[in-house]
Amino acid sequence: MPEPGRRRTGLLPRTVRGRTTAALVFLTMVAVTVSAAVLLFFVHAGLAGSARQAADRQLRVAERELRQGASVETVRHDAPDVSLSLVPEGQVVPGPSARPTPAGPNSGRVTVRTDTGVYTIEADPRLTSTRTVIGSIAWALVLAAVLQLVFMAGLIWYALGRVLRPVESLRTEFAKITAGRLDHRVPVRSSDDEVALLAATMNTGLDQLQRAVNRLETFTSDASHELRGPLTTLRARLEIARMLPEQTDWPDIVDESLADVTRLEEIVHDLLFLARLDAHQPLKGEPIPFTEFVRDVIGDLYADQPVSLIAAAPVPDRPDTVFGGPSSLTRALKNLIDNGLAHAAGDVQVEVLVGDDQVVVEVRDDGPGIPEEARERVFDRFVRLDDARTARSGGSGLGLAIARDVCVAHGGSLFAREPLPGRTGARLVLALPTADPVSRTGQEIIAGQDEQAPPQQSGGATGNR
Amino acid sequence: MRVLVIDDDARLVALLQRGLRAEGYAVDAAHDGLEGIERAAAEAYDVIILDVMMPRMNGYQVCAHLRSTGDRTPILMLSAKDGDYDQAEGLETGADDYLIKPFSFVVLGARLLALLRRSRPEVRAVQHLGDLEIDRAARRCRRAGTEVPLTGREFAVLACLAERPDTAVHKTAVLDAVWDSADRRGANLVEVYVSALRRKIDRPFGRASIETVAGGSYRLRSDGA
Repeated sequence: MPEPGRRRTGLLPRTVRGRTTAALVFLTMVAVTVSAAVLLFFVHAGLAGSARQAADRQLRVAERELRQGASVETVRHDAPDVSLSLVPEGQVVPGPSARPTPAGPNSGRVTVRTDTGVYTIEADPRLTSTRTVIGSIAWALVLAAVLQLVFMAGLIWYALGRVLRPVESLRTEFAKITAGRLDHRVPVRSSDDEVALLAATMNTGLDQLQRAVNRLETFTSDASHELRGPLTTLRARLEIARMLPEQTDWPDIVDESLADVTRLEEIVHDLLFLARLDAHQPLKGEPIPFTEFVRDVIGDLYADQPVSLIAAAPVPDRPDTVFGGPSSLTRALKNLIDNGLAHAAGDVQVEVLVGDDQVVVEVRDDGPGIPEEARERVFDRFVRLDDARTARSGGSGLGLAIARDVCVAHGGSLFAREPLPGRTGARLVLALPTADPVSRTGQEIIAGQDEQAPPQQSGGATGNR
Repeated sequence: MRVLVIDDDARLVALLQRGLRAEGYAVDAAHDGLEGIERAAAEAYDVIILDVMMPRMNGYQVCAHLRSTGDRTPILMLSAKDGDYDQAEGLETGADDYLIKPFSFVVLGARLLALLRRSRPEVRAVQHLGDLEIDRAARRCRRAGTEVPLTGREFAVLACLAERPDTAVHKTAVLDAVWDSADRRGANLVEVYVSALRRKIDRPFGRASIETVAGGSYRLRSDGA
């Protein structure tokens, strides 16, 4: 069964195993061929050289014997590798060979003048035997090379199979893990090799994937619950009004339905905002003098509400400029102050503290406060600590989650702390890094990690994971 | 028919009370699981409408608890959770039906009737007593083929008497079945509705099907005459 995406292309083997084996066999073949050629060349040169030397030796013997007057038969018998040609006295020897040549040791041709005529003796090395030897060696080499290649191919194929077997089993295990079975993990072998590392890395990736999927599932289920609530009341109200038209106070129905629609709108708005933060879309950034910014937000939005601002006048050598998106930061501040107002008995205090490299904004109320074990959980989405949904002051349950996501996207943090000594109520501490306005103008902030570690491990607060 | 609604969404509960009362049900409300269990233990209901996602004790827990105490009241679960496993969990913990929010009020009414029919087979959807026809599903009443318009409460009183034809039903039993616990202004309320019923289904047709029995009871004749 060919799996999709793993189809053969042409004649090339498709697996790493096949490809590696083919490549190694080909390279070996080239190497063996080259060595065989070199070997044959030198063997041939050696054999040919010694044949020539033997012929030369016989040439000297033949020359000596001829000069001593030996018969041609004797000479032929003693020097079989030499060809004798007799040109009788007085005849012209045709061609350049007729010219008397000085007898050199390696000339390969000697002319001997005897009583019977002029003999030309030529060395005639026996190269046929050399050729035969070379031929046999060549055939032996080809046979050996083929056997060697076949053996090598088998060995490489087997060895690669052994090496790749854990990878294949890893693949089989990994293929079993689907979106519905994300809790499964591939087995990690006890050895410390590359395959074990690969398996461990895959498992880490699966962990992250599972966390993300769980988060998404929780979020989706919570979001659908939040949206279905108002939709249910809206629908029931309208249906009952239609069922009992004469008992219905229509202006009331319209007002209440509009309230439901507004609530749905708020939730959808918040969800979309969060989705944008989650998608790490860049926020538009500009330098913001933060103390003034907080003062403006309170002045604009909470003019006639019990919200007080505690802030020192900005000091020139301690800039309070934060680089960020004014609308998202306004939203974060607003969510914190709204949260405070929803729970405060009296008033909400907003304090701005400018540090060396960060601006800290504390939003404090004098309400019942947040129990210590819930101080991390309040930032989870759709978490309400009280039955606020019944009382209809609950908001979307996304306010603090949004505020934290905005802070993190700006490189800052947001935590719930214990109340100041002698006070009760929630104390939410927002910290944002201050920036040199010149160097960062025009940059974009990319929302960073959406999960940040709590400063200390809080006992039971596991959130909704 | 007495219904208990257990839901933490106060506005939805108020709406359900209003709508179901108009349909002739007596509706009590509980705003969380614990209160719901207390109420269900204190009084007998014909059906319980139970929300799943509630603070303190969720609907599954309430349902499991009620079933473990031997309460067999039909339970209709309401939930914003529409996953297959959520529904399965609801039914496994002992709920009789499951309705996903947002739901149609018409469907809710039909499901309630279906549950009531199943738990009390003697209550048929359409009942004939002589030429008196009581259609519980459509909440309609006909006398000799003529449609008699009844209010929800009047119909509920008639339906309550029709459950046991030819049997004396005491005023307090009618009161329990038709009015919710918060709204019981005494037995003479039943008298008021019975006389309204007589004015509508008996007198114009020259019948006397609702008889007064000594001791504060009423009896609906099975021949409808």
